[in-house]
Parts: sequence; C-alpha cells; structure tokens
Amino acid sequence: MSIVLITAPAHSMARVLAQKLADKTGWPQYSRDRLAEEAHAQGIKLSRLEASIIKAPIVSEKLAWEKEIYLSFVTDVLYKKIQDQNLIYTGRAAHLLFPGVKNILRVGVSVPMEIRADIVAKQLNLNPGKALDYLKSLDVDIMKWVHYVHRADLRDTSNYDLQLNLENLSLANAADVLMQLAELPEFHLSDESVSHLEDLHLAARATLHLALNKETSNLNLGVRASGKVVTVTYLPRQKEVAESVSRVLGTLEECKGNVCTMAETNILYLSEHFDPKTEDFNQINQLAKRWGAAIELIRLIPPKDGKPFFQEVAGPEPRPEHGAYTGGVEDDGPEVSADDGGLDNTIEELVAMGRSAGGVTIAGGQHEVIDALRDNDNYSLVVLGDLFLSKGPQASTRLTRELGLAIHERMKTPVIKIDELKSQFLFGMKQAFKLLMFCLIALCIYGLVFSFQVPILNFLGGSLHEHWKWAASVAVVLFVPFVAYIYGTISGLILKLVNID
Amino acid sequence: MSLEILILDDETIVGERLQASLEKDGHSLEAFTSPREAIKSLNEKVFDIVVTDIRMDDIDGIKILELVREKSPRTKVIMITGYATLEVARESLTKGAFDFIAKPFKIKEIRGAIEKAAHALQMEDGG
Repeated sequence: MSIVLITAPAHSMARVLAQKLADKTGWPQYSRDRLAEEAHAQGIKLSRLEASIIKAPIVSEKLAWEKEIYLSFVTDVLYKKIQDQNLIYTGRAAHLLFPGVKNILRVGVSVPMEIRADIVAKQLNLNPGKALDYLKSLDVDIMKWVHYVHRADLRDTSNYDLQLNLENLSLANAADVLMQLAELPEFHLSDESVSHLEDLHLAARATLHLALNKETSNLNLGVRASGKVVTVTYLPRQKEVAESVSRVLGTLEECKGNVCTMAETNILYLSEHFDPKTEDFNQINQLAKRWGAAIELIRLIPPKDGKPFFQEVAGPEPRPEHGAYTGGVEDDGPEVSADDGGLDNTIEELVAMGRSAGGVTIAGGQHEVIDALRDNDNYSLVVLGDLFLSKGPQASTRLTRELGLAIHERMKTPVIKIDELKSQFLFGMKQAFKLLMFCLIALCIYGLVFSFQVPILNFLGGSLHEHWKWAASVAVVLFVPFVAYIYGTISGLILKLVNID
Repeated sequence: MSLEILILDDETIVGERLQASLEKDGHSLEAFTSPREAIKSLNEKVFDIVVTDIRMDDIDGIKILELVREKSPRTKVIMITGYATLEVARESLTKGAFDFIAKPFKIKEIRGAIEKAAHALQMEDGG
C-alpha cells in the first residue's frame, strides 16, 4: 500500500530498478516515457514545453497555462494508475509530483557519469566524448525543466526521503532496500493522504476540463480543490469570465460545487518602459514576494495618431478546434508591435517567478487608465513609474501626481511613486543608517534621563517646579511626542527589517 | 538568397503548407512523405537545407540527419517533431542538427530558422 516516486537522471538504470521493484512487490509500474507518449496522444502541448527549455527565453505567459495543463494531466494519469493505493513511477522529477501529500516514498537515484556515458554511447551510437557532451547538456536542460515546471531545485535534498547511489549497490539490492522502506508504516497512505490525493486529482480534472472547453481554454487560471469543491482564481482582467468558468465546472463529474474568486493581492505597476534588470523592478518584486502578491503591469504611452487604444499582452493560445487540422503547421498570428517598451520581457520574467498578473498597453492618458481599472478594486498597492515622459520633466511630474490622485480617489488604494517604494516599504542601507541614528538618539535620551534624575525630578515636581510650573508643562508637551516619534520610527524600521508591514 | 530545400514529413499536409509558404520567399522546394524517396533525392542532389520530421514509420529523422551530415556537412538540417522531448532535442543537436522546432509551430518560426541557416551558409561560403 505504497506510492514510490523515483527521480533518476536520463539514461540511468532507473527503469530497470523500478521494474525489479515491481517484480518483487507486484505493484503497477509506470514511467515518464510512457506518460509523455500518452500526453502527446491526448493533444497536450508537451512538445512546445520541452522545446522551450532548449530555446531561450524559456518562459512566456502563453506557456504558463500549458504547463499547468501538463501537470494536471500527469496528476490525472498517475492517479488513475494507482491500484490498491500502490504505484511505482520513475521520471525526471518524479519526487516532486503530488506535492504536499504525505506518506509517499520520494526517492532520488544517482548514477556515475561514466556509467551513463557508456549507456548513451551504445544507445545513441555516439563516441565517448560526444556522449559525455550530450549528457552534460541534457542534465542542464533537465535542471532548467524542473526549475520551470516544478519551481524547485533537483539537487535540494530536503525533497527526498532517500537518495540511492547506484555506483556500488546492485539493482536487485537497491530494489530490496526500496521494498523494505516502502513497507514501513510511514509510507502507507493515511486517510489524510488519500483525501489530499483526491483533492489534487479533482483540481487536475477541473484544470483539464477548463482547458478543453472552448469558452475557457485560453484563460490563465489558478485551480485548487478541497472536499469535492473546486476553487478557481482568475486575474482581475479576466473578471468577465467568472460566469463561464462556473458554468463549465458545473458539468464536471464528482464536483459538489465551485467557487470563482479574483486573485486577492496584486500590485499594479504603471510605467512607460519596463526592464526586468533594473533596481526598480527588483524592489517591486521584493515587495511582491514578501506579500505573496502578483504584479500587474500597465504600459501607458501617448495615444498613437491622437487615438487612444488598449492592447492586452497575449495570453495562452486558444486550442485549435476540431476540423482545422494543419499537421502542426499553423498560420502566423497577427503581428505584434516590435517595440513594446520591455513589457513582454518583464512579463516573461514575472511568469518565471510565478508572479505575473498579466499586462496591458494603454495608449492614452488618465481617463483611459481609470476606464481600464473601473471594475478592479483588489490592488494592495499602485506604483507609478516613469510616465508622460514626452511632456517634459515638470509636466511629467504634475501629470503623474494627478494620475496618482485620480487612481487613489477611484480605488481607495495606496498610490506611490517608484522612487518612494524603498523608503516606504523596503529596508536598505539608508534605512539601516536611519535605524542606527535613531537608536543612538534613544540611547542618549535614556542615558541623560537616568544620569540626571535628581534635577529632572526637581524640574518636574520639586523646588524648580515651584518657580517654573509652566515650563515643566511645556517641556512635557514637547518631549513626549519627540520620544514617541523616535520610538515609532525605530519600531517601523525594525518591522521593515523583519519583513512585517 | 534562393535556397534548395528538401522537406520530409510523413504527413502530406506539412509539405504542402510549407511549400506554399516558403516558395513565396523565392526558395526552391522538394517535399517528400517517404524517407526512402527523400534519401534517393539526397543521394542525387546537394540541398542547402533539409527540414525533416523525426518520428516516421520507416526511417526516423535522426537517421536522415546522420546521413545528411555524412554526405554533405555543409547542408543545414532543421528537425521538426510533434513528439519533442529534451532527450530527442539534445540528441539531434549533438548529432549536428542546425535547429529543432516542436510542432505545432507557426510558419514564421520555420521561416526564421531558414533565414538563420541561410545566414550561416553565407558566412561559411565566405560572405
């Protein structure tokens, strides 16, 4: 009654090991090769995902949804392969499947490079040097794949229950070790684990159901399930599709109900140009990471030929309809403007970090931005970057300020300029220096108060007080807010330092 | 630059669609659905570019790649497949493929690969 997930490098002996384990236990055995075949046959765009790793850039918003569909397909297929709660699966990142489910035996296998190179040289008819080059490149590709698909590092040992080195251990003995380990009570699925698996499977089925439906196939959605209820999170710009999602999920078998919610925490960043390599982007990203927020980008540019327009960055490609068979050679889509002010690149970077809430280009001014934001009220923060640059520095500052006020008025959300972000939300050298200075001032105040207690008490209630009653009151009125300001600043900076806002 | 291009894919529609698009760019194309027929043509004539599917019943695209590399190292081979995996892509590139494109692809992707191959051929031919 065990699930054994074996991660092994390509061209190792993992499948033989899995087969030996299957022979000893009688448990069903499945491998990634067979799973990939099935994915291709079912129309999952696995080819595009795999090839995207070889070709930079490896990520795009179009592929992000394809990735979710692929992972859902894997979960669905493997769940169905489990017999009497038993399964042996080998793959390039098998140990990362069924994330969070306890009592699953997650195993890593390592095989010396020389042994693998020998296998490859024979299998692919390569000379030893080429075989080694091939394996080194492939290992790097697989690391990239795992990072992109599972957002994990293959070398992170904390994700494994056991790592087997097959350099000296025979495959038969390795299979024995795995069998004995899998029979331990720790690796028998508990009711809680089974329930967790069922939730993952329902979420996977819901994702596939949405992906295969024409109405919802080109949406980038977050899907999870708990207790036979599916929750779908959509981006603010997809607000109008909530009804379709709900309707499509209404036809999903064994689903008691569904809830559609808009992604809750978002940071909206408006600018004329974006560059994922800048310090500005880094700061917004730091804040988003701390808040667990997604970042939505609006590129605001002057109207073209005096005409405002609104253009959303392309989302996932709609799946082709039946009857339009092209043999995989598709017509070119509409041409995308070559100069997008770095919007595409920045979104790709955000997708890679799992923080993209999409992006749009708006050609226009304040009214067009407010129109675009009309129904969205779930931003935690709006950040204004470089805007209205063609108007000159003074007009740019004024128009940016007016836009900020209009957005704040409309959405009741904090609006700040990009150059204020660090001082208000992040902790850097300047803040460290400020903290040090204020701590020193606080220490001086305490030092002075405790060193001169007698004259101070005399001033507040003793003989001096008798002569200068009003002076004591004035001193207290001035001194207390001053100390409170020092304390407040120190506390605020310490909270920033420990990432609590 | 007009190029001699051979296209090999066991699905007729792939050759037809690529031929229709790439001939407009001034290239000369020969499309095959049978690997054996394609090999015959490769033995008779030197092509600038070979675009081949990988998974075919009779002879696979990797064999075609090996054959082209052996007969005409100058020829650029672009691999296309609907069954791409990292392993197959790396094997193709290690064995000398110029580019690797996964299906489904847009025509502009293959056009871009052909332009890059043409540029590489020009550089090798001395500008």
